[in-house]
Amino acid sequence: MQRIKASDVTGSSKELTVSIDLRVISLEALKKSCYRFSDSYYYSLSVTDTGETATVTFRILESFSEEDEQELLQRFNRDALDQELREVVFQKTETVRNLILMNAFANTDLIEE
Amino acid sequence: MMNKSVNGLAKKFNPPEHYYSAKKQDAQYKLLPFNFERVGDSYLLTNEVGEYLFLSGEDLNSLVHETLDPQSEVYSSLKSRHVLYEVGSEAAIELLSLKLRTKHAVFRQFTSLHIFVVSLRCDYSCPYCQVSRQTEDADKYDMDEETALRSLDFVFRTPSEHIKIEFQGGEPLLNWEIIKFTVLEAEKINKTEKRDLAFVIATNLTLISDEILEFCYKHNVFISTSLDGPAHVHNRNRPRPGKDGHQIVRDQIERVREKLGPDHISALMTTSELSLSHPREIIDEYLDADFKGIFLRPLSPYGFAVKTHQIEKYDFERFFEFYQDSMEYIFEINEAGIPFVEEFSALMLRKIFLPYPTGYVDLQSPAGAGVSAIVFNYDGGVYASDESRMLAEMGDHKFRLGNILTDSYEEIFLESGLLEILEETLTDSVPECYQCAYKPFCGSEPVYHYATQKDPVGNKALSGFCTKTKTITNYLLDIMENDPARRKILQRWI
Repeated sequence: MQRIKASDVTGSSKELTVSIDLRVISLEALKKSCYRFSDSYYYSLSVTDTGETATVTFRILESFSEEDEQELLQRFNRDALDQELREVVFQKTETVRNLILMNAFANTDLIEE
Repeated sequence: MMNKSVNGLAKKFNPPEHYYSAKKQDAQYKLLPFNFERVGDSYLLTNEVGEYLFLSGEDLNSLVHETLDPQSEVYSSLKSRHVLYEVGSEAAIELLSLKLRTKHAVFRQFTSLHIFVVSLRCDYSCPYCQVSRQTEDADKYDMDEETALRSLDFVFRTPSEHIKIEFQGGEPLLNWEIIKFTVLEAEKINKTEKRDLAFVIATNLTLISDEILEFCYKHNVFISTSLDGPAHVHNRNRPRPGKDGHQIVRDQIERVREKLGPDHISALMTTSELSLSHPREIIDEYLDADFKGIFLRPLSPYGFAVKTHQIEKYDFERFFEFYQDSMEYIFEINEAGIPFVEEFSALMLRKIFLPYPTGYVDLQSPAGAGVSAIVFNYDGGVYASDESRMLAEMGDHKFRLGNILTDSYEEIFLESGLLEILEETLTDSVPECYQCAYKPFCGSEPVYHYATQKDPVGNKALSGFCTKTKTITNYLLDIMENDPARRKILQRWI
């Protein structure tokens, strides 16, 4: 597994930027994708003044080929879409989840006598 | 004739004829909570209790946007695994609640495993030692009778019907008198308590004598030992004066078996860098010693394993290669008709496929630290887990819950900060975990994450604990889904 090294943030590194339309991927989902990629990349995340677009800038090794860059962007975009779907699932199921937890841990028998 | 007067859960169901006549195409469904993760070209979906299935990205999107065809096979699979329920059939919610309650039943018992560190002295000098042993003659590192008695008072405060007392070290047999004393005192107390009481000694077996074996036989004491592989691996991993540790342990295993019976001794291995190149020889050693399985255990980030930099000598990727090579050989052995189990895989499979909790302390949420297992150190210190006292021997007392000689049961559990740590690290609420498809198979490990990241929650993207659970789960599920012959072998381990 690749880990962040000092050289990733200083010296022989370059930047790779991706813009995300926040109407498609929420900022919450985007932050979660960034978190997932934090094992291998140093990144910065910013949002435009209008709040419509977010920019993620990865610091990558100078030796990254165009193919490596494409692969990273593809993986990141795919993960962001998955995260967005997770947000939808979470929102749709939050109430029933709380109900299940409440039932499961209630201090009473679930089956009536 | 069916009895029409139904009660309880049955009230939530329609009569059977309803289900025969129901037109599936009219079904309207709602989602139940689930998580998912991309695995190869498909997605692994798990519900709150770990019922799982794989499905395509297209089906996942249809599911979430509630456009799945009720007549499709995937719809039935998702319904049967409680990922969706049909409007009007809310019993699914209660059934899922019941399953979740069952999965967490272990917490009703509270603490069952009580570890007594009776001595920190040891006759071995293992570079990977996770407990920072002390030299053999330093008897200030021994537990005394007062500490043992106070610890026993504490042990019998647990509401658990099952009490296991495990003697650890160092080498616990260097303080044999206190083990004997503790067993006899515990049995005395148990005459009125009447709990299911069990004893285990975790020992390198060097000091096993006829007297000790006779006592263990009379008092039904189990023995757990360490066997790292063939002589050239074991003796390098576990050096002792005379360099004959391997011969001693093999001879003594037989001696213990003869006296106590074959089911009263088990062995554990620890994977050093040297072990990584010898998976087959290590397994052969276990077969030769007539064990029915092996627990492939990587180094833990504590004690001398950190101090001597052993822990840095290999990463999880290398351990996983070792694990896969070992599993390949274990499958070959089973295919040849010899039943042999890899115990960690068996634990994971039980977590995935059984409706009951496994009781494996490392894979629980809330963490098992303190509430499922607790440690009484030789000096009276009480720790939330074995790993916590390992950390303490490195000078970090973050998970020290108090002192058995000065603090009460209530102070140790309620005022030590333990409950706050358990609450902070619940997988149902920490970043990444709460939306992780592997959550039902995993646990929160505050001590591991604190040891590696100085944070009981930890950044899960950097967590070796997460990587291990996810990778081994994927490996096992791949076999269960795609290799019918080997699936049968794994099913026998559950």
